[in-house]
Amino acid sequence: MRASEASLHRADQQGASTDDAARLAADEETDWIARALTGESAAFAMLVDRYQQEIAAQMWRFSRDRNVHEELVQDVFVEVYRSLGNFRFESPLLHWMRKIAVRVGYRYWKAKERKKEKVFLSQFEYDSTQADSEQPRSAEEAGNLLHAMLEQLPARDRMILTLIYWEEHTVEEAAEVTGWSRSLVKVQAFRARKKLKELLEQQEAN
Amino acid sequence: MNTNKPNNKQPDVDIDQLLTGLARAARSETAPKVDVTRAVLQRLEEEEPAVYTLSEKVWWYATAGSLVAAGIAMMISYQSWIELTDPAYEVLTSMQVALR
Repeated sequence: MRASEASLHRADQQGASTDDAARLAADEETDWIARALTGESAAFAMLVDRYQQEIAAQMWRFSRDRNVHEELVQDVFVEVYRSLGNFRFESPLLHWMRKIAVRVGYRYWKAKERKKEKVFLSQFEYDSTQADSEQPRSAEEAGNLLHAMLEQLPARDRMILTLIYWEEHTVEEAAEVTGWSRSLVKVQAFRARKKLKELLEQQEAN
Repeated sequence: MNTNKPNNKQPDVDIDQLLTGLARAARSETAPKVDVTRAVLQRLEEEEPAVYTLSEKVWWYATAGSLVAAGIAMMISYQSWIELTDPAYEVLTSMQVALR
């Protein structure tokens, strides 16, 4: 009994210390933002240091070319710096940065010509009758296949499917990020899925 | 009823299930590590003088434009003045001549 009470107390303490750490980190961030806004580059460097791996993971969904990928991450932070004055502290900084990252990625897709290279499901040992999450597949293999599949779609379709499936956004969240209405998000997602399905079936049949 | 499926039937892809499964698996993939801090700061430093140059350029264009516009306005008003005063001057001159 005493042992369980002690462990509960320890858990409470741990919870409190996690909260304190989060609060400290947020305060630190607020200070960095304020200093970055006055033009102190060292303060902005702290923000880049803190979030660059999260943004890199997100931008890896936009390009598999390492050079382009790194450039996209840079673009995101340059845009973050330019828009920092508009940050209203209503959501976590990373959340706000992710929206900028989506815009940067989408711009890149729009500028880049759509890849015409075909993707065959059989190439990845895909079994359409067992198309569930249980199919043995490494994360890298799944990522590459998903990227190659979506790469065949126009930028708008590609973005909506990336947001909904890869980034697990709800319709509301996707609407917020894209600036589209909820019904437009639903229609766009439906059309994108249909287009992708037709593409895959066509390629497989040929 | 013939329930035999033709052999050359197109594969039926459940796209929602496929995307969900792949995305779930792909979410744990590790992206390449990056270190962009220095490059970002360098880009920001390079962009600052560009902004300054742009505003300086805008200032110069605005000044030169204003001067040209003022010159044109002066020429037009001078022309109008001549047009207005010329007939009056001529009348005065002819009156003077007549009086003499």
